[in-house]
Amino acid sequence: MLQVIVRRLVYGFLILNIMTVFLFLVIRLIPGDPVRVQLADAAVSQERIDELTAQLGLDKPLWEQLGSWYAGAVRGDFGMSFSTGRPVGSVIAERLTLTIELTILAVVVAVLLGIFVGVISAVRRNSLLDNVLRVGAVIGLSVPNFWLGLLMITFTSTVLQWVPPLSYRGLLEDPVQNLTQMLLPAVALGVALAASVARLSRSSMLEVLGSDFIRTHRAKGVSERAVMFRHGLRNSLIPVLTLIGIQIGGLLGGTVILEQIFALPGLGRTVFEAVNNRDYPLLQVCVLLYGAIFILVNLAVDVSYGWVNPRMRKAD
Amino acid sequence: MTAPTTHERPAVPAADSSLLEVSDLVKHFPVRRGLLGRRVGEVRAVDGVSFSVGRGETLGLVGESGCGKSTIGRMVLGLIRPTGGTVRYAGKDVLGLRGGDLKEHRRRLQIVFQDPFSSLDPRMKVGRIIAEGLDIHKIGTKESRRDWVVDLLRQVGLAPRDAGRFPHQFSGGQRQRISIARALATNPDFLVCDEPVSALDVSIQAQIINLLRDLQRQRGLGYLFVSHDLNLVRYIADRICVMYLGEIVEVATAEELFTAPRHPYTKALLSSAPQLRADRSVRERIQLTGEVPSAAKPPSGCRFHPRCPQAVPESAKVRPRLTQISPSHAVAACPCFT
Amino acid sequence: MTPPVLEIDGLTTSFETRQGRVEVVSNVSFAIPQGESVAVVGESGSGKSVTALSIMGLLEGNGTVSKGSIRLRGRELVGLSNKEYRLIRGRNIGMIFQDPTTCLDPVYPIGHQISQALRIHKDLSKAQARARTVELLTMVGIPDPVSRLKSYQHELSGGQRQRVMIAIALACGPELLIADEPTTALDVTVQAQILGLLQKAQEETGAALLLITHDLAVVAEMAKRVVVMYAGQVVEEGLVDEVLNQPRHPYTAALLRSVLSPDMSRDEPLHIIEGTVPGAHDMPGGCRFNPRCEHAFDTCLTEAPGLHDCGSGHRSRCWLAQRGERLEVSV
Repeated sequence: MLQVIVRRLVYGFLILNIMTVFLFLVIRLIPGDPVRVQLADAAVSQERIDELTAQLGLDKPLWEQLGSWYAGAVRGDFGMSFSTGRPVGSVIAERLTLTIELTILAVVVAVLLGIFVGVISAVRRNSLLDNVLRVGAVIGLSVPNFWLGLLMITFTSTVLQWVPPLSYRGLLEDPVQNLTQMLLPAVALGVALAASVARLSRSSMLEVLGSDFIRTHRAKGVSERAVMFRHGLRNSLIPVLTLIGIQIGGLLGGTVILEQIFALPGLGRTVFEAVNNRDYPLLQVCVLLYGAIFILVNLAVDVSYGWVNPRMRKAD
Repeated sequence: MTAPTTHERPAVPAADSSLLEVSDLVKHFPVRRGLLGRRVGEVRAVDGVSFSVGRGETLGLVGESGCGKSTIGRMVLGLIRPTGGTVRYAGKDVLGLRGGDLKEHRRRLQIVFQDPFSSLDPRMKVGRIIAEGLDIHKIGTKESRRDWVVDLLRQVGLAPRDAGRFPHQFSGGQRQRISIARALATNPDFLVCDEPVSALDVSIQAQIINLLRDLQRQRGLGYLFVSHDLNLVRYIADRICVMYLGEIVEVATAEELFTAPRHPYTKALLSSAPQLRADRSVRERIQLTGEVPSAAKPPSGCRFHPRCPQAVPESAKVRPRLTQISPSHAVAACPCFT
Repeated sequence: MTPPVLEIDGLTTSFETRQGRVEVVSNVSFAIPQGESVAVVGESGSGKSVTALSIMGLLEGNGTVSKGSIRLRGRELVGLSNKEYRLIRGRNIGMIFQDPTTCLDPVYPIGHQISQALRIHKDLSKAQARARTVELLTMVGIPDPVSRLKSYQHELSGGQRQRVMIAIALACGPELLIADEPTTALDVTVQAQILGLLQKAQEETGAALLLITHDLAVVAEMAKRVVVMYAGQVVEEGLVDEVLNQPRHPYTAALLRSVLSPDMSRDEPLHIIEGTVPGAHDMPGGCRFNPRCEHAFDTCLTEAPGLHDCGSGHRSRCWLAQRGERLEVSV
């Protein structure tokens, strides 16, 4: 297993390097000149523009820019953010934890809610409850997360007369305030995944419950509760895990907009701002981090596969 | 019979000429590991198999699961490429066929699969299933194809109106009749029958076997009959190849194999099958221990030696060669009995 | 006198379908005395497996026992609550199924799956259950049982899986062992091993055996009595030696003739039974076998025959048997 993890990490590292070069070029294809965005004033002399361009290192050839980025990166120096003038590393350090927390919370919401609903649906298949839950899952799938986020804010502020605290506090700093701030965006982000998890775990559970080995357990006298949860559920988790691994990319993408809506200073919001400001160094690292998170989460999913499915343990 | 043929078939097939000749056929499936698909080993599914089948003859291929019998059937059809060896059909090297010649080969060789439930497209009507081969090979006109389908349905014991129904509306035995009609549509001269009745009930098995026999007599078809059922193969085949782990251990005429089996594996197979009317008190059963080992790590020497009741130390060392012991009987001559 | 281990009386099992309620098993009766083996033989659609699942109380979906009684050592099983039935399954009745590849849980080690049965029904500690599991694995002929406890089903061969299934079924020393096509999915040399193991296990434990099969040759080797089923009914019942040598129902006779044997002539066509087993929705009137029977006459088309006792417990559901006519058996 350890060998697999190490190898996957090596592959992940290679992928991140390919991404780096690709991003470096693509970012520079975004229309608009970072220097002009910075100065934001049309009446600036050409000398001032040239001066700033040279200061940001944008006058050098692309390969040289890339080389100096790498030279810094190996020392942990990702350059200065154009828009804030602070080191990219420290800007991101503040914001990364928030996005990771949001993503993890959303996945937890999705898994708990999705599997719970899916299992109830499967156990009471074709009942009124099942039908209501299935319609609910279709709605959950069809509603865009940003709209759901807006709806939540509107609902809590007008009906409940409550708005989440505006100034962000870290999880360690003030756990209660942090969680009240994070709950709504996490739900908004996780609902779509919860809905697809619910649909898949229902059908997967039904398939497992109809299989021969479940009949063997019943023939042994295993109680219905143990048949459902110990044997049915664990076997039906295998495809659900795959689904979560695939969907995690979409989930990460959702953070960009939701952090904007809920005014959370996370990585997503930073990406949004960095694009607006043509802040090349900041954008570069933000997007790379998304890639790294995606790779790590997928590795975690694959590792947990081995726990659920013994057949995967030995496979290479 | 009003088959819209594209080719003339010889009126009287030459009795002695062999239609299908397989020599030294080998199929190794690679075992790959890791993301880069490194080749870490191979499953030796078929390992040096030679036989021939004459016009209108039936060769039975028997053995337990994993012996390579189905893989041979598919290589003969050209559905999978052998790792080594040759397949000659009507004098031509099948592996070298391209384009039109390959198409013609596929027209002349057809297959009937084991499972009549998964081998028929559930969304196609029976008439279309049967006629599809005619469309592909551009045989006949639209009208003559329709007549031919009706004719085929009658020949396999179904009604002309069945052409408009879907496979799920038929029982297992009827579906196997459809499979046979489909195989016969292009007027082949050779059929690979891959366990054609093992998914069927006993009373239905007999119907299908009789049908296959009648069709063979009427059309002079050659059969490669793959099965695990010795009694069935004895009944339908002229000659029988017994296979074990990718190799032929014994070939003989059906009668000879049953009355005078030589290889210990053949003997064990013959005595393992439960018998309806054997005198159980007298009958001596050879019960083999263990199961067929993995073809990825075949035992050395005689591949049967770890399970062989009469193995001698040399069995593990010498790889036995198929040796002719009479004009119609060859056996892999293991030191344990020679 | 102790009651038989299993006594089935007038068992009728039906399923709810879109086209209405259909009887899949109709009025089936037979009994298995202590330590004896009875085979139920029939083709697909005969209702033999549904009979077995009715005994286990494991009918799928909307199947129910609508009439009749199933008694285990005199105790009525029909109408038991789920909870009560659960205590009987695995403890008093053990069951083995057809396909061992799909019948073992892929995510738990086999040792766990065997000891699970022990711990449900017996008051055993973990260590005791483990020791008993090793004993069971040894008994069913799994080499190196201690290290096999942690194996998963995909690491075993087909025959070994079926041995594990037998170990699960025998774990709590059941009075009745039901084997539903236990060797159909196995190779012929392995089939011989498993049949031998079943016989040995039955002798050692003294359990009664109910063997469900389509294979008359397996019946001949394994059972003392045989129940032949066709289209949901028992058509013939009796001692194996009598029924297979002197069948009193045309279906049994025809089935026997269509079995391939090594001494039959290659030049004659195989004996066949025309047509197919009728579906539960379109049962023919009169005798259910009449459309396929070569002996059928007018009474057969209109009146359904009852089971007629031809003497010494050999019963046949045929008008010919009631008239005392004997069938010609030529094999």
